[in-house]
Amino acid sequence: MLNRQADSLIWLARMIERAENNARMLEVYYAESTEEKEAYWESLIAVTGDVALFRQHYDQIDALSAFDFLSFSDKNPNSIYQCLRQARENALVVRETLPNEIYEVVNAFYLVVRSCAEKLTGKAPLEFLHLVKKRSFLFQGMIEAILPQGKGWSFLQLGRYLERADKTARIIDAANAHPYKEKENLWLRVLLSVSAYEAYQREWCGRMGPREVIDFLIHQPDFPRSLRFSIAQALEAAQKAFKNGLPIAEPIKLLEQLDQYLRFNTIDEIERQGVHFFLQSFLRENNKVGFAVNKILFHSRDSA
Amino acid sequence: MFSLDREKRFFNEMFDEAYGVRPCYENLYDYFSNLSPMMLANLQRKAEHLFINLGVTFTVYHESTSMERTLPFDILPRVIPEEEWNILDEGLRQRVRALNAFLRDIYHEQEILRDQVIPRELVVSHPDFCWAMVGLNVPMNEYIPLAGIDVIRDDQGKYFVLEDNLRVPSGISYVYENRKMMTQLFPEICQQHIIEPIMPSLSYLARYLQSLAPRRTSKPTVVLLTPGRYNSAYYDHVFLAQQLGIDLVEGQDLMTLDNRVFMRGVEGLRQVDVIYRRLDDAFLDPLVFRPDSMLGVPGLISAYRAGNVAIVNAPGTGVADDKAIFSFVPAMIEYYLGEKPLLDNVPTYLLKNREEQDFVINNLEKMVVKKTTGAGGYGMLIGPKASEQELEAFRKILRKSPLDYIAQPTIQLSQHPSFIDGLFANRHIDLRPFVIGGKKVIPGGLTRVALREGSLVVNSSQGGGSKDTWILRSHRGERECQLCSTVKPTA
Repeated sequence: MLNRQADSLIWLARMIERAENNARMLEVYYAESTEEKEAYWESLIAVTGDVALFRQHYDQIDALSAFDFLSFSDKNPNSIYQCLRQARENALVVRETLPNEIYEVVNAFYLVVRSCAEKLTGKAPLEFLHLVKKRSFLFQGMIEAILPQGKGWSFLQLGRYLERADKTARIIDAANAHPYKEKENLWLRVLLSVSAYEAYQREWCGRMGPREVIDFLIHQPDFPRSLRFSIAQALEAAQKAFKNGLPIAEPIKLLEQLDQYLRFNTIDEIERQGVHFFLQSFLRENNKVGFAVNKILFHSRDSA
Repeated sequence: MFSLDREKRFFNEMFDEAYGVRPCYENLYDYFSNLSPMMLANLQRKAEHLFINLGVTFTVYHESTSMERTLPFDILPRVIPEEEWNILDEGLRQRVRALNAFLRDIYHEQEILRDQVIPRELVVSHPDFCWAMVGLNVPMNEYIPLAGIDVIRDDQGKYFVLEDNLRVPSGISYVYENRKMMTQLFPEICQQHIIEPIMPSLSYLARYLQSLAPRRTSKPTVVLLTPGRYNSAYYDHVFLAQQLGIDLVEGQDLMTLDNRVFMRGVEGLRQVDVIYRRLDDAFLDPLVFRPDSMLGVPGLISAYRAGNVAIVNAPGTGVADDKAIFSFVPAMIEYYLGEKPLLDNVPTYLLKNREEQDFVINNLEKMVVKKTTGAGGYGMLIGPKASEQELEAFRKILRKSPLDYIAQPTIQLSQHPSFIDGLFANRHIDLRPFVIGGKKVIPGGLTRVALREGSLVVNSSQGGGSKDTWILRSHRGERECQLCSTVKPTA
């Protein structure tokens, strides 16, 4: 496996995960028309971190402009369409190392999103968002079902879980910043957006408040989209990808620290620090892992 | 279903002069006659869709834009009976063996030039004559492990060689993708025929590339060096790397140390033994060839000279597939092998010779004129299709720079029915078989179709398509297992 290909595998998985998360976040409120809805779009754009870019291209934030910006826009490098374009570019780089069926899934995914972007501006958005989720599942399923679990597989895992941890943290952060943050419906929607509703109900039997939901999404060790689960998976993948004896690679160290950080900060401790503060420092550390991986792959060429 | 509009002056692959179906096509004719045009059109669309989803595409560059296209796939396969193929198979191997001997000779003793079989200036002043190769011993003396030889049929159905491609012949992936598509779309009709299997040739090619490794090791590292995914033949590279189980690398992934070539990977450096490159000579090594090349590997030729790596095909093979050298290939076969050529060349006129030049210029409307160094069907003149102004313009060019061009009498490419707009209409075709090391020919090869009515240009960059090519066994033997692609004796 070449360094360049390892990098492309990370970004392939990351971009597909990012597209799926965009679809999830859009889906949450699309069908609702409640009072907290308008404010939600603002916090949604804030989550993606592209507020300035959004303001450049749209006059107001509403369902239509948010959907356009996060789904089809050429201008937004993180729109679903652009994510898929980048996923496919990266898949092209590693194409010969993947089974043909997996490349076909990525390529067909890109082609269908592209044709939707051309034809479907504003029509049947929910169906489109479902499609994005389903195709992402298909990709992940293929990876589990037919890809040998060697180095290549672990780079895919690493990319996917780093991205997932980032997005889950941002989703919590956005809901937490919402003006109607005490409304039960808001947190119900958040749980639905990460497909955690049923799992949460089993854990908390009907109690639904910010504290419980935040705790669940940060700490639940067996829920596949929680921060703890994502970081644990990313750590496992990094260990597999970079185990070259001593010294221990930087990304592994950073991920171990993150894992500890999540374990030791209970919900009481987090609330004391402030949820926003906690999540922001989590996001910063999570980003550092990506930089450290990049550094190993591209800056210490002969030793990696 | 089948167009009756047949032109007598061309050989038709499927029908004889009396409009009867040739024996090897009988089953296919019955089968396709019974399908409705609507169903066939559906299947053709399905093929196109599958190719797009699979990314079996090539990129066409046109001015500033690029477009991804599929190679149009024609659903009616071309059939070559075993007896005909055996002659082609032997003739092609003979030809590549002679060309290989020629390359070894001109980069060493140059006996063929000393014996004046081929004019010296034609070889040594050629732009593709590679001075870095002079006196260099290549592994196993193998210059052309993979060659693509273009073959056509005249109005009598006789096979002629039109062109040799000895540098980086492309299109091999389509041979395999077309076969896969046929077995997917028409499993019943494929099973009714005993088709010579093509999968074993791929493993043969993999083993052959490994055998060229200069280092003695149980598992040599073979890589495919690509210019990158913006290259129009990138799918070909991906396909070969995937199927041969070798790494697909770009110049930036390789480095040289101590006259050895290494690959940079996440597990550290790995020595590379064989490089199957799909990069033109000029870009291979910026220290030896074009200094501005970002695609190559600095120090590669030095490692090659030191005998630590094999480059496939060897640099400098371009001098042997030149269109002017082409006319000397039959002489090479006699000179090096002492054999009579089994396949004839298309007659070729060299314009440096005054008499031939006059003949060509006076008969230009019947000639096809090509640049000696051109490829891809660009910059050529097709006499019978050209206007008076074009002819006049070419006469001037030919008088001015006769060495840059060759002329051939208008070739009678054979015709084959192709499914176009709901009907099987006759179109011109050629054939590019692939020869591995002068020892094995992949059975069949790529049949290219000129999809425009009356057109003789089959190049994919200019509106050509392709079809599956079957070598049909007439008697019992082995056949390819549809499930596992291994070879099994037929019952």
